[in-house]
Amino acid sequence: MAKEIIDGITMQRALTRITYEIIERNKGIDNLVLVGIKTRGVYIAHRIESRLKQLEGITVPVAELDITPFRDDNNDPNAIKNADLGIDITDKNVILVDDVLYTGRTIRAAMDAIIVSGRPKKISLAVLVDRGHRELPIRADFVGKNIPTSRKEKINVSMSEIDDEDKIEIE
Amino acid sequence: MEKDIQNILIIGAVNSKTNVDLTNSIYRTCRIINKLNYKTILITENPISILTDADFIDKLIISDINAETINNVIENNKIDAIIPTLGDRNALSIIAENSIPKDVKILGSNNLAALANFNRDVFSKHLEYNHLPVINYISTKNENDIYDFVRKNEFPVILRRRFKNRMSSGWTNIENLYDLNNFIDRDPDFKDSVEIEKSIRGQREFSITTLRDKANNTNIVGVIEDIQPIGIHHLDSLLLTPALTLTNTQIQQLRKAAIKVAKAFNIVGVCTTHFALDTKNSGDFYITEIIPRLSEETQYLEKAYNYPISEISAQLNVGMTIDKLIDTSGKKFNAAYEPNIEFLTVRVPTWSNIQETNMEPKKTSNGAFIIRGKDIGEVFKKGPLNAQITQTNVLNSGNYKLLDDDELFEKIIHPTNRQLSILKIALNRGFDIPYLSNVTKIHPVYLETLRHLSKIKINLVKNKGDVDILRDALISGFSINEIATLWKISEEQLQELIKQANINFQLKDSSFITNENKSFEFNPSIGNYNEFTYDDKKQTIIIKTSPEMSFSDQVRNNYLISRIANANQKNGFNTILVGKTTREIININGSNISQIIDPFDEVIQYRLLPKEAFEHTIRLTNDLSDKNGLLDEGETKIFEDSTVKSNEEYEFNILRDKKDWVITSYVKSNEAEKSTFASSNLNSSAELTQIISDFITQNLTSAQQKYSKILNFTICFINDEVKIKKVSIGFSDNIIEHDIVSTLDLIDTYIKLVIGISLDELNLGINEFHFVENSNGKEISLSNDSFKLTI
Amino acid sequence: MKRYLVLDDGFTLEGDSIGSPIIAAGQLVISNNLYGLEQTLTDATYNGQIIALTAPANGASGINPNEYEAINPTCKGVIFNSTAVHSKMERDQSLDEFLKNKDIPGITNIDTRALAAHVQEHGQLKASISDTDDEHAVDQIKALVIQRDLVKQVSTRQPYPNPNSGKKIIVIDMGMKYSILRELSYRDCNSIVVPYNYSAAQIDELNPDGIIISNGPGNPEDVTQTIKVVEELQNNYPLFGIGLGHLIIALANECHISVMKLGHHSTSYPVKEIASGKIEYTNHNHIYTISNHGIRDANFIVTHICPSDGAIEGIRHMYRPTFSVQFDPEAAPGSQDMTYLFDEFLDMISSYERA
Repeated sequence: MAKEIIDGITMQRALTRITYEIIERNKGIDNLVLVGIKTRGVYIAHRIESRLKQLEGITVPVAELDITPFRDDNNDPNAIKNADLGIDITDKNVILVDDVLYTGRTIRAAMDAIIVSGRPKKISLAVLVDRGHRELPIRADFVGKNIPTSRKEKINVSMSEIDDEDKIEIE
Repeated sequence: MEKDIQNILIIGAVNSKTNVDLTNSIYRTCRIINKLNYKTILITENPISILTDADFIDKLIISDINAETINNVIENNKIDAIIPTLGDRNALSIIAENSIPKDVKILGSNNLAALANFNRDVFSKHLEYNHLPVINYISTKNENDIYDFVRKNEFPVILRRRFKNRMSSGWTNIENLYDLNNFIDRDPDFKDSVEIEKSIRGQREFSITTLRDKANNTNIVGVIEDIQPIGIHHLDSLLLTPALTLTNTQIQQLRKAAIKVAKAFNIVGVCTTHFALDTKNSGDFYITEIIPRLSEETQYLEKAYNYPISEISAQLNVGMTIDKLIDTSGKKFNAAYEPNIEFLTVRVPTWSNIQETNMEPKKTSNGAFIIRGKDIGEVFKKGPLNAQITQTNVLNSGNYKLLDDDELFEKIIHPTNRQLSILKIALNRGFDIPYLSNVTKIHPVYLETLRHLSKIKINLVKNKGDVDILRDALISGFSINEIATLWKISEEQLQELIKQANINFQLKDSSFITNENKSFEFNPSIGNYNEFTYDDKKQTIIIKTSPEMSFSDQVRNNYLISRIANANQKNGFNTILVGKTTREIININGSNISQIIDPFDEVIQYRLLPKEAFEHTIRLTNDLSDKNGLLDEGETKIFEDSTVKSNEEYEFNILRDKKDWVITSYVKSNEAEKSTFASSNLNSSAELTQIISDFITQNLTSAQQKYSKILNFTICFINDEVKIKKVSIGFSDNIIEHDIVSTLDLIDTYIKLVIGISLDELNLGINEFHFVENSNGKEISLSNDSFKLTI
Repeated sequence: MKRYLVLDDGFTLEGDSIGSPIIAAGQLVISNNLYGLEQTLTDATYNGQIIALTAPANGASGINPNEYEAINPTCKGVIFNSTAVHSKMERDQSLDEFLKNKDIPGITNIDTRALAAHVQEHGQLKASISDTDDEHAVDQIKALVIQRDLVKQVSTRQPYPNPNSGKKIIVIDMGMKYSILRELSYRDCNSIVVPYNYSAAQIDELNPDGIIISNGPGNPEDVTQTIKVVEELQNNYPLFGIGLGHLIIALANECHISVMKLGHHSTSYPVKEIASGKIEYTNHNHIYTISNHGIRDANFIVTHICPSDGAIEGIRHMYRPTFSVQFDPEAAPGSQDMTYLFDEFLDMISSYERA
């Protein structure tokens, strides 16, 4: 039985707060590139980008990343690993964006993809939800909400771009 | 803005005398949507009240409104979206039935909201799901459930039985276990299911209207306070805004809840939420109803706050955000504000039936008007206690003064629509305010105001000529007429005193002082700053109105005002409307008509308009007093010969000046067949035309001393003889039909006559029978509610 | 009893007396507050001012002591559009009794529309409520000098705690509304209220998690002490400025402030959050605003503006944990759409601690 734990309005405010923190830590938004991971991370990246545009008036480039070829359970060693970002990330401050941070393996795969595509100055991580239980030494720089969960539970993030409305549910 | 929508269907009014008349809102919605380059298709059951020459309505369909006809219209006109919020409950019920094809967008409302308006279960469950307080209610055939409910919810409760034919008994108020047991014992086997609900009778009623755009920006327009508690239908009680007797904390609670309701039902547009506030357990409130459409409340708030809800709601419906709208002239309009107000504005319900009526949960009133003032006493005196408007002079408060205390008390605990007058008498007799407040559940500040008004009256009588008391009385809304009578001096003498005391009356605009959008609605008020600029470059025609007693009179007058204003503008005249109450002015060409709301005729008494403004005045009233046979222009008076009886009659509409006259049109009605036929020319033998023309000529001379430029002869044929049935001076009840079929622009010609142009100069082509040559061929035929207009 | 409202440009209006019969004078401010009379009257931001209320029938629900924002109101006088008769049933005081008890003179049945129209044309004016409207009265009001120590008059003399178990918040009392403490209490904050002239060292010693600089009366450029203290503290602590506090933070960072023509005085005025485009409503009570000029150079982002006139309503520092708003998010009286800013402040404190 899915139960809503974060509603749409709280979700939006969390994204706004992440945006302010990004500006704060980077002392401005020069050289910034947002890379959104697979489906919902991309929408979150776009939402952060539109807020940055409203506040600073500058368009920050957003790239979409499909990490499937880089997953650690992908056993084909000969698979050509091409991230196909479409943006030059060398010397840039890359911010990886995802909806839920759990074991950390997705992020590791994402970092692989980034490294293959160029040599960024710095990579940071922004997530909407951090639910704990890391299996790799990875941490987020910008967190929307910390939601402690058991391994049996599942977190569902809905976004109005593809789901009916904005909300976060726990199941 | 919604990009993939082109054709929008607006569902308009059904033929009903009890639904709210939203004609003005419908026009404004169509106009603004048309300005945004959508195609507007309007469907309505009511042919007459829609002026067919509005260019912002791309297609007008006159037809019954139900799911079938709507679906036909959708198919035949490639409709992309529907706006169902202007058709009262009827349009919403079609949406609730879910019978619209899925690819047609519903704007401003949705299936859930519409269903919640009708289905109690859907309403309650959805509110509970969103953690909003709703009245506990169950329906059951199990006796245990009833007692369980009472254990959880405590008395008082209300119960009713629902019979197998889906009808139900009325609600019974149950205050204690004994009464409950008696109720259950009447049907101990539960043959019919029983509904039980926590009683909120006696709680205070409020409502809030919100506007929400698609980005979830929500603001409220205002909070309406209901003077009378739950138990009396809110449209029968006196409504007041802003809510005077709520603390800030209570207002914010209700405001937050109203905003949440709009989001919970995902309404993009306007929504009104009704609340019951439990003053015993302070902090407890319940949501009793949601109204996801335009209604009496939104009409009232539009007038009170001068906030154009119709235009804003329509634009929000098509997806615009609240700060980026346009106004009727196409300029940018930022509606992102919660409007302020400086005048207390009340909505006073009226009953066309002059008998005293009991007030109950079902609505019995059939009209309303709006009064503004700075002071509570003032709005009471100009509104519910104003005999001229509410026709309460019929009751003669003398009658109530004869009742003894017990009989008076009976009338108080079973409230009637004369409640405030009766309470005033009770307070005069020394009834205690806290006690009366407890019994009637009316907040003590209103009772104190009623008592204060009586005190002022006594002071006036005791202290003739005292300037301080005069000032108090004028601030509390006493009219010059009343004070002069109490002081036994003439109105002129009283005006001198007022002038000496340095008390000034000015015309005030009803919009908020810093608001750029002026309202063009003025009312006289004590003050130091005149806000009405009289344009002396152009001449003015003043239209004077009185409150209408019937719905059809209202429709007729609304039509006339709009047409007269139009004609005035064409002829280079300004229009000022002076009436005792506010009106919805239907404005086809978008020009501004100034309106002065003057319940006590203060405009003339305080000379708030220069004398020359009144040179041309048209009175749209029924002659109520005998003025030695002289009528004012436009005023209606009827001379009827009741001995003449026939089923079929012809009403001829005549315009005239001092020398000549012309028949513009006629309406033939047949009472037995209930049919009407109107045309501009008698397509009959020359002989018959001659007979009628001669007959009218003869009888016209005898009516010559009545000066109105428009009058009607109703004749009939009895045994082939022409008989006069009725002569009516002024605009007849069928003026709209006459206007539509007349070859001349009837109203424009009338105005030309009023301002002094003669029929001769107009060169209308009048033949020897006093008809117009070369009729335009327009005809209307109406029978059994089907309407046909031929051109 | 007749009384007169006299403005320093000679404009006078006649009205009826209510409240204390003393004569008073101060800066005129026109407030469009619709609800919450007792909160408006006890708001210390009005210290030294004569408030004109445009709402009708004031005082109909009596004065409720649960809704005070300060125990003693410090406004100089009140002008009413109209007042309602009071019913003696409730335990609450009537408006007249309240004003008399607090020695505040009032004048009612004033044509506030005439007043507002006049002010729109002529700008900021001084006003007095007096018994005559002759030349002498006008001269007196002309001679009135607006005091410069308004904050000192209303700020607390001694620090005092509002204990709880959560984050430690210091509130610098510039004329604070009680509702600020109420909002902190809801969030279990362990607050301490300190006087406006508490030094940076003293505040340091209390070891706060975050500091709020409250709303207050008067010209922010007059409180030079507090500006200096903020300069010292802002690099080490998360700061949240409200109203006057917002302007002080701006001045502590070499921004410019300007006086608005009419100011914002309303229970429910719109505010737009730039990042998300959301429009919400809250209580405003200010005649000053931060100028756009120089804001960027001081490393501030503009977070909120007013959609009606484009005035800056909220700023946030780019790399320091500082943000502030011109309006009153604790909204007493008024719409409570923005009370979540207190949550944002606490979130900011948490992430500052983590970093």
